[in-house]
Amino acid sequence: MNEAQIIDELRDKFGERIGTPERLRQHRIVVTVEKENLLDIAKFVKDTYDLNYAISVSGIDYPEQNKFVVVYHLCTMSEEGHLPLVLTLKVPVNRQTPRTPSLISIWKSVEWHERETWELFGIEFEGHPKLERLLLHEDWDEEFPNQFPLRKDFLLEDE
Amino acid sequence: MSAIYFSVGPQHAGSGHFRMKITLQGDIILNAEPDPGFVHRSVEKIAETREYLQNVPLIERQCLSDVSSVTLAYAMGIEELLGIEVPPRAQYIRVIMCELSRIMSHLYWLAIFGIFLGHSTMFMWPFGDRDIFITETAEKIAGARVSYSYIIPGGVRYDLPDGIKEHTLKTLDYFQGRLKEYDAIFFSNPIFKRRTKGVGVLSRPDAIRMGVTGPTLRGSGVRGDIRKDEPYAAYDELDFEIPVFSEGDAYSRSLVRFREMEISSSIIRQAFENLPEGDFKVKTRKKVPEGEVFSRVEAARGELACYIISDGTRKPYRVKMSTPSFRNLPGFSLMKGSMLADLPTIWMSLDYWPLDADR
Repeated sequence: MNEAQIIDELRDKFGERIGTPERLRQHRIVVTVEKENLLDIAKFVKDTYDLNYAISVSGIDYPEQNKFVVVYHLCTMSEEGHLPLVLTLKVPVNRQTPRTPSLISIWKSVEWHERETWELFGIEFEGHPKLERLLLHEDWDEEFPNQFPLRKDFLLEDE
Repeated sequence: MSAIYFSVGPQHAGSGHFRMKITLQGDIILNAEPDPGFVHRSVEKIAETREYLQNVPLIERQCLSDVSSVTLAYAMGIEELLGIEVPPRAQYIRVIMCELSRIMSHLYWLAIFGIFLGHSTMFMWPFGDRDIFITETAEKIAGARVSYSYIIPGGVRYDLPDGIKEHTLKTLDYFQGRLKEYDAIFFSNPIFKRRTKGVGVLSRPDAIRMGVTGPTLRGSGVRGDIRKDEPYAAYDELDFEIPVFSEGDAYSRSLVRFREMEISSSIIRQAFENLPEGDFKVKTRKKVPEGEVFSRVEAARGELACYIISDGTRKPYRVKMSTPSFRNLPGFSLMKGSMLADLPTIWMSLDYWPLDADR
């Protein structure tokens, strides 16, 4: 199944709920979904396109638009290796109440990635079993309370 | 008998600053929890404050044992955003550097693995041979020993020096002879086999479910390798195989890396044989057009992905590095239920590199 067919099928199936799926280039699709529809659509793309392998979870901060975007990169791993298609799932999250459902129930491997995104962006993943310090120093909260290093308002000293 | 709780690390336990929290009952590990972050430098944050080219030396420092693949993933991302084609000669030189890097990284792993198992000869030999690669190939090609920032957006920084082909082939002749000795003294050694076979078994479905990558994945019977699955640089023009072992134990994972050293040597020979003439880089612009890109390469430890968001300025808006060591972290759960004496075996069979995971 090529990218155009996947995009058409997603549009047919979810209509309004899925925004505009975008083809970046061959083998790269970006799908933006609201967090209310996230679990449904994530489960659908996993089952339908066999996207069983989560590569990464990242956050992006857009302070002017008052939002974060949580980004999941998903692909297929068969016995014979990766398929070249990478589906990017983007979830906009309000910057004041940064919460989104955790996708751990769908992809077990996002556990550490979501924990990292929680720590560095301060985005809460609902249902994640262990949102604890991972990469930052254990005294971080005392020195920088409520600050998250990858947000745009966290400035480095030489900025 | 009551359980005891202790840490392994974070002092340099042989493989970098990293801690394992171990709960032990008698001789059995009840719980094993990785605690990364001791060498976190926030590469992704610093990258947002510098220009694209300035980030090359920064980003390569997240994995000093395998710098070529890291910088290549980043360079490929920028090239895709800029829409430029890299000259064929540069693609071949990149393959040569990446495979040299892979051999050096595997040699580093092998040395530390050797000493973790108490085999001091296997500590000395790979480090000695790695130094030959560093001084005789990497330094001669790129001008620095380890962190050479050689692969840049648009190609590579310098052309290959005169006589490097003969020099590298000579080094490989020596090295491929040495691999036979490694096999005799270590990989075919009955003590090594007994300490690694059946230890830390990771089944194929679990490997995929946990999202592990690289030799750890290929040691569990999955032929996942970006060099074949989504070829980059000049890999689609070269003939090589992907070693896969299906037992999923520490022995399989070790054999994958051992075979890869042999295969990398053959890839380098082919790349020199077919090396095209022409330019080794093209000019790039400092301003990168708006957009996003997800590029991935097969580094020594596994799939390394680089996600770049550009807002059309000279600096990246966001750079995310998804590194193989971070993705192999769940593999440490294999320690659960095994004996304490198997801890170093399982640890090293994952080839975990704290700098790579912490970024």
